[in-house]
Amino acid sequence: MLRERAGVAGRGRPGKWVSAITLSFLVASGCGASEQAIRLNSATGQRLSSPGEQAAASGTSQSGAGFEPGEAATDATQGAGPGVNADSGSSSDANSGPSPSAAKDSGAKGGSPVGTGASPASANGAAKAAGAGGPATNTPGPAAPGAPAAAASARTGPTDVGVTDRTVKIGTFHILSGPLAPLTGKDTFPAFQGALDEINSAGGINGRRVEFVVGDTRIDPPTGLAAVKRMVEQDKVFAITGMFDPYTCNVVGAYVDQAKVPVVGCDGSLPDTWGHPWLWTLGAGQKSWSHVAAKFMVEKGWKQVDLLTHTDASYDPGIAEFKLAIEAGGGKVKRVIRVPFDQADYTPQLVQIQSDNPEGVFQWLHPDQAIKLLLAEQRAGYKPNQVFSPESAPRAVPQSVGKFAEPFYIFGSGKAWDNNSKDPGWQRALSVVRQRAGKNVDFHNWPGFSYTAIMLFAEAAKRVGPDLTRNALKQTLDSGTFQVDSFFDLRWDPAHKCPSSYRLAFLQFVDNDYKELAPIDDPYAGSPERTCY
Amino acid sequence: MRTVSLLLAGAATGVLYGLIAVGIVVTYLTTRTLNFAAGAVATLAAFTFGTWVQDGWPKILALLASLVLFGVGGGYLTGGVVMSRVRTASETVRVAVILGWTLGIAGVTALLYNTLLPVPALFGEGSIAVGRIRLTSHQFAVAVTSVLLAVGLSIFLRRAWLGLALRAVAEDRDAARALGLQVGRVEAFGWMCGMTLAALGGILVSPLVGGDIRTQNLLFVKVLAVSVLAGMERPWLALAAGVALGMAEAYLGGSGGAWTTNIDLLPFLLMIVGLALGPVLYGNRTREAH
Amino acid sequence: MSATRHGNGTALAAKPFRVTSILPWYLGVGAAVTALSLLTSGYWAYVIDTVAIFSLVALSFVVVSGYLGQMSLAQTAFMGLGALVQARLVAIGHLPFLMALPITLVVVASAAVVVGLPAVRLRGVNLAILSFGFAVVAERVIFQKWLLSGLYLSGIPFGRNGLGSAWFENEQHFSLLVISTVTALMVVIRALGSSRWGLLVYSVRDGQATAALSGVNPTRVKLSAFVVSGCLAGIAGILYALLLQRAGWEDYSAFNSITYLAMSVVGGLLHPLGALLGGMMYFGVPQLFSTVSFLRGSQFQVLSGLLAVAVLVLRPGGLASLALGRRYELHLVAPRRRPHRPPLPSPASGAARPSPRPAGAVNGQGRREMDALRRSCQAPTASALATLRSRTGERPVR
Repeated sequence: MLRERAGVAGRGRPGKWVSAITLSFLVASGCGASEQAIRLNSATGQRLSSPGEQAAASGTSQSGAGFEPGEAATDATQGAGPGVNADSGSSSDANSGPSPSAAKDSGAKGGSPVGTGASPASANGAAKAAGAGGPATNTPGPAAPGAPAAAASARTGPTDVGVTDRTVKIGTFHILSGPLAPLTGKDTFPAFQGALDEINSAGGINGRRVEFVVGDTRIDPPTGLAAVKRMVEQDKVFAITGMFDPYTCNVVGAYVDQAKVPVVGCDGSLPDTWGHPWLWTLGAGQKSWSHVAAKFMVEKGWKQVDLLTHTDASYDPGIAEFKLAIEAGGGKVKRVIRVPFDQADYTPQLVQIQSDNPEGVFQWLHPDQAIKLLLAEQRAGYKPNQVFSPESAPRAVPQSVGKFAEPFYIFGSGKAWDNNSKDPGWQRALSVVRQRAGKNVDFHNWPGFSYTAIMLFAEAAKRVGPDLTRNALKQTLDSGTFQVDSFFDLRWDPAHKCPSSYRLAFLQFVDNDYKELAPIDDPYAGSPERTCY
Repeated sequence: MRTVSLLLAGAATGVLYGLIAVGIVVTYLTTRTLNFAAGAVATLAAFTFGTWVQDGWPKILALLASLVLFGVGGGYLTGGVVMSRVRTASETVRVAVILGWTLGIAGVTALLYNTLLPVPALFGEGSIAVGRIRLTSHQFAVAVTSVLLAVGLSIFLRRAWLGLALRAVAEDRDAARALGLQVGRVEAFGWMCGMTLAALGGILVSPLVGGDIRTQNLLFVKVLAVSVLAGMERPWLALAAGVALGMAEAYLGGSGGAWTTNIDLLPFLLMIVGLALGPVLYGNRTREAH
Repeated sequence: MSATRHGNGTALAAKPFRVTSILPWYLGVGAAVTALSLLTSGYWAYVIDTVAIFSLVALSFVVVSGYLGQMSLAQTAFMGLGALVQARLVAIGHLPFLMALPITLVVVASAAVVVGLPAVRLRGVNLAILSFGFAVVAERVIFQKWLLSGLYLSGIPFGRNGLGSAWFENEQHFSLLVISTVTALMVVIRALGSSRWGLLVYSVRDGQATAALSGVNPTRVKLSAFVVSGCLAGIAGILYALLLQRAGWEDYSAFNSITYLAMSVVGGLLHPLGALLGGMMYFGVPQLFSTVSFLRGSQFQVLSGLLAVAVLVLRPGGLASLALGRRYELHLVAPRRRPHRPPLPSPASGAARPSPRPAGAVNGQGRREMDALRRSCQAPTASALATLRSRTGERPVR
């Protein structure tokens, strides 16, 4: 019996060797393959910022791909020896991968990093003698930790990781593949690219051109975190901005706090995006949403209200705040109904609402849910007074039932997100995106975040001035007020526990168009317990 | 009256769960495999159907073409080509094969259809009053179709020779061969039936539920619970369990209090109860490895 | 599947086994991986850590689905319990890490017993769905409502200084901890697989009733396997929370169980190498490919799915059986129908053994067919077989 089995499994010994070889191969390829792959994609030539500098040959990578060739920005540098021509032109690279559209070329590595913990003082002014300056350092492979601080002269030259005297390198991440990509990355990434083009054509950031690497998070948090780590540690970006993926934003906080890398412009829908000193979220949080919605409803005279939302438990604080705010306004929440995401027909919920006969309903739903609700209302011929949360921003929502939805009330962090808004700031943003990224982009809430994030970053970096360091950027962001075309005034508390803006835009969809109503400020804006996390 | 309306509306939703559960149960009866690929095939079929209708094909033609392509063709590919090669493998391995297959199918869907496609309703957009509530004519027709399918399949599998053959082959392959059945072909046919039901389910249900992957996951999980509740034995029972779940959800969902927030748990609680009571309700179904 | 018999698992344990004979392999690979992580950047250390942790998850499947042969989809529940309880005790309760660890493991083990108890009576599909239901309930109730109460679903920040020192905040230092833990556990599980306990587990897997006749208590054996598997998953959860530096509920969502199961099966369910390969396939390889831009995410998805199918069709034992030999898939596949071959003449005997066996009903194939015939006669009355038989009459047609 034993021998028979041995005959069957006679490959015992060779099997061990096979496994050892396979394993070593896999492990070795893990190290080497990435370099190999990068060589496959490498741009021709490389970009050097200035004669005094060196292109370090560490692997840059571009992860994921855009939707079609032309959208993906391939970005790779090939290390080179010293003294190569300095060229900071903007020609596009010929790659073996998908060819990039207009100039998303990559920058060379900056010179040796100052080091993430360097104090601003040491980066300014006096030249450091902390080791090799000038053209000496050529560091192939991953950058060695503790590279000498070659502080340039105060005005130009590398001032921090990812910054050279001609370029600033940033990282961004989007949901570029997977089933939710058509709802998110398809629009958020082009919006980001459009904004970036606009920034660069207006002279960049104090003369520095902005370049980027992009990561595909696949809406999977560990993958997103890996992409962020790769951008920080391998691609050596200066900061991360222009992104959209709440789930990745939710998990990178601890890491970027330790690495002290600025992450500018996450949306704040998930709770762990808050409270990280190096992560700046945009707009109001869900508590402010509740307060503002309640205020709107109370002012309209809708005091006996219902709330319809989904079963996602992370919305519990917002629900509680809504109840409190309505009661403070002299009203009452008669019923809170929570509906599972896969509910096909909202008739049961509508039956319950109808039996309550409320004066108003706060519909806090995802866009596809809102559509189903409206369809059920249309069928039943019953439409309560209702206001929708910012998620229902896509135009498809009110248009799903045509005139029946009107008047359709909705609010949001940005000034407006509809194509026809009259706000000049919004119009400017829209025209930028249309012009640069094409007419297919649906520019609403989420692409609005990406756009605002990179614009905000650029504005803050400009304010820092030529001595652009991470710490200086943090100080500037934390102490200033910012206005970006599509968002209201943005300002942050140092602990980043409170919303960056307490003002929300209100819109009414009527005559097949969005009409702006007066924006509403969160009445609890001053009180941390009620608005901050 | 409100209660009756609630229950009716809930039943309309529950019928959708039941329809897909019927597909799962039938596939299990004929192949002894849990068809994890049903959701992916359903989505692919629904999107293809939607694209063809958009291109101008008449709905019936698009429906039949989708069913043939994904049901028959896909079923043959799954059963005859893939699953037949792992027939002797343990259940865990076969589940993993199905999961890999599902990943592939979902990937193909993502490659072919880059945008979220709204799937047109097969039975039109009009509405029908049922009691005090209004359902779309599509919803109503789906309900009727589901009942007919469930009952028809139950009878088919218990009485018709082909249905018996399908089940026999799944119960005990060698014994079935000893009875003279062409087991290979019957097995492939079993997969074709399962996949056709999955595709049909997708085309009928997608217009109502939506094509978002998370929604589909949730739906699939509920369907699993419903199938288990029905004991993986009788299609009509699966439909009834689905309807019961829908009604319970509707009734408890807005009643306020703990049930409102935890309404997602209901299918699993019912399932656990069902499994615990299983031996009592359905007889002893435990089987050993041999 | 009642007609087919799965392989005799005792073959796996029959080889005389000494831990020292396998130590060089494990230590070697562990050292190589550690070196890799220390010499490259924090990003690759992070990838290695993630792969190691997923390998540990796959290892938990090795115990419950490989050794014990049960399809359990509750592993994410155990992961999440481990992560959240430990985080709660350490980060909020301020207990020292090592003091909280046994408490956490007791909690996880209890949950494993809860899942394992129905396993005594249920098999296959029903157990899979029930365990999945448990994972969902764990996610919705235990994680979201009990363990994260008061936190409104934000995760519990679980900084590495919870381990006792901020030294681990460096990704490369942390990887030392992760790699050594996972390597040690792999050695333990490999040893267990060839131990007396392993024999008991295999015997229960191969036939509960038969095992009971030999004096084995199947309930106890099954529960012990579930507890071991659960604890492995719990430790993986703790490491995962430390990796991300937060213990959230979303990372332990029930749906991931299905993916982890697939990952483990493709890697190989009967050997820790399979667990390692599964983890690499799941996270490591996609990271490699993420730097290759010509392969879009969806294309990669199709490729991975079809590759998984191809691997399993070729070798149901997974990649581990490709590497280590068919011995490691014996349990997972029914024996093939092979014409009987005489045993090879052993060198010692010097002469050929007597070869041909009489053909006919005595050989394996004929016996199987007779068994099948008998079963078709004895099928329970409600079954399709019996109904068909009664319709087609007595004559079995060939």
